[in-house]
Amino acid sequence: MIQLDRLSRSFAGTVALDDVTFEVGRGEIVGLLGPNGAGKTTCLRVLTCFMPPTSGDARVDGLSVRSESREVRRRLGYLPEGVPLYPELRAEEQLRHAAGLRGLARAETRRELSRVVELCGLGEVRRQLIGTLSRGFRQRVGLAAALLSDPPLLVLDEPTVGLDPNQLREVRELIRSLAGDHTVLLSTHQLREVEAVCSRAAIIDRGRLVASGEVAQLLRDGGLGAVAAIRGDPAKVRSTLEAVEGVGEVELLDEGQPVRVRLRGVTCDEARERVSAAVAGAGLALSELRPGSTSLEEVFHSLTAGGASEEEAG
Amino acid sequence: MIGRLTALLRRELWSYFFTPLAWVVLTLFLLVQGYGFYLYVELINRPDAPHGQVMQYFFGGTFLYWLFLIFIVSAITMRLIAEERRLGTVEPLMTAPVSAGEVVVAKYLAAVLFYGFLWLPTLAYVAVLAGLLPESTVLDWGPIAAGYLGTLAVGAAFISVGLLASALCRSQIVAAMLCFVALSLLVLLGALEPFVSRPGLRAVLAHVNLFQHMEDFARGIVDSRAVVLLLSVVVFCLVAAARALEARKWR
Repeated sequence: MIQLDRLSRSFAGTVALDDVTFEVGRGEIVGLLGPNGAGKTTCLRVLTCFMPPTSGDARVDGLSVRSESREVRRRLGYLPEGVPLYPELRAEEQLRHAAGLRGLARAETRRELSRVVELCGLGEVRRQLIGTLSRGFRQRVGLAAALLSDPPLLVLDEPTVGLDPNQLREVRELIRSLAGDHTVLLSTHQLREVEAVCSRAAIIDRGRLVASGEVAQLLRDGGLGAVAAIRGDPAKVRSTLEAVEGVGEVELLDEGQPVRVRLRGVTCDEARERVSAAVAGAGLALSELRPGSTSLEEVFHSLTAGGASEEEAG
Repeated sequence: MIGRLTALLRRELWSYFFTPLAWVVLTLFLLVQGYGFYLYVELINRPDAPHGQVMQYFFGGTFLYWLFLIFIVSAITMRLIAEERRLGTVEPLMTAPVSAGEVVVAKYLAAVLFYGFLWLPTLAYVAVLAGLLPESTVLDWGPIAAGYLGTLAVGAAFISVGLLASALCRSQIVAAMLCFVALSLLVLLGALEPFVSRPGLRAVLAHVNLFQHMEDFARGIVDSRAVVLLLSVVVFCLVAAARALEARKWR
């Protein structure tokens, strides 16, 4: 559905996106991960034809953003960063305006309007002025506008920023429910979000694609594996764990009791049962087993060999 | 295409009539125009009154007309595109399947419609004149109609300049100032004519003399050269604004 082919974009000498090649298949939900300033928004802006690439090309449904921009725009619904809306319009009017821009006829507009209002839970605020809406509702109005006319591709720039935990869950469920019929590319700097809704992820840092693949794969490739705390003799812990299927390297983090070790080459979920069985079998006591990387920062550190990415993360 | 234009136009008009700016502009406009009208009627009634009719002074006869026209146009055009940039709404707008040309045309039409709406209440002055005239004299409708036509044509050209200024700036205030200065220069260009000796240049300056053109309109003369001049300003500015919108959305 989406092909980014050696895509680059610079602004007056600053390279925001550097030679990114990446594909998203039809019906997939893919997360674009990276700290602030990594080039996520630039990537989405090039893809949605808001700005042309400096070199390379992006294709949607085989159509180039360079030469068939209008056709590309017809196929996508876009939620821009910060959800820009007209404060002087009512929620309903904003949506009607967006429907008009997409060329929907009167009857279609009415049908689509009630569909997206229902889908995004905007019933109670449809007559309210955008300027008076809370951040969460504005976010949902933006999302509803992107969903109008049911485009096959949805591009969502930080779709869950500013939502409270309940709204967060609703919106994530909504995005998940779109999979299959729709292709979704969303950007975020929260790893949890990707784990919650995405089948695949791409990580970009300083304009470069540093990793892409299935989320579990990325966590494994992140090299941070799982961390276990086990009571018993450190040498025995090591030899027991090294024998567990799938576990690559075992790194001793702390030799005190309990012994803390990092298991590389596996994710916590994959290793849990095998590790607990092996530990119990060896007469040791497992007191904790958790993912080695719980945050983007950790995966990031490992993927970008540390340091530099944090300066920009700010 | 018509559907998209309608959607754009409706949003623009809504924003005009929703924001307090529009009503402030309308009130000030009528205040000044009403005062001007009163002055012209008093002037014409003096025994040593100059030759001419009230509406002839009303349309372009004095500097008051031009100054206020430039002010009004700057006020109603400054937000057109600059505001979209500031709010960031230019992003959803330009990633929707609409062209920059459609956006510019819709915004232009909305501003021209609002401008026309501003002048609408001044028809009351004409009604007052018609009512006050003694039985023996009849109001000469030709110059009045031509005066309105000229005012609409000059305003339409000015609005295109304002729209271009708004497309070039991120700040509304800067757009308004740019528009004000550009229109002032445009109006004052014709005034250079007597000071130029080169006949070719003189002819050009005479051609772009908006004072003269508007005076003609107010006397009932609809000169096709004036219409062509104003129309070419509109076309040039709208094309340039569309290009600017297309190029500058990337910054």
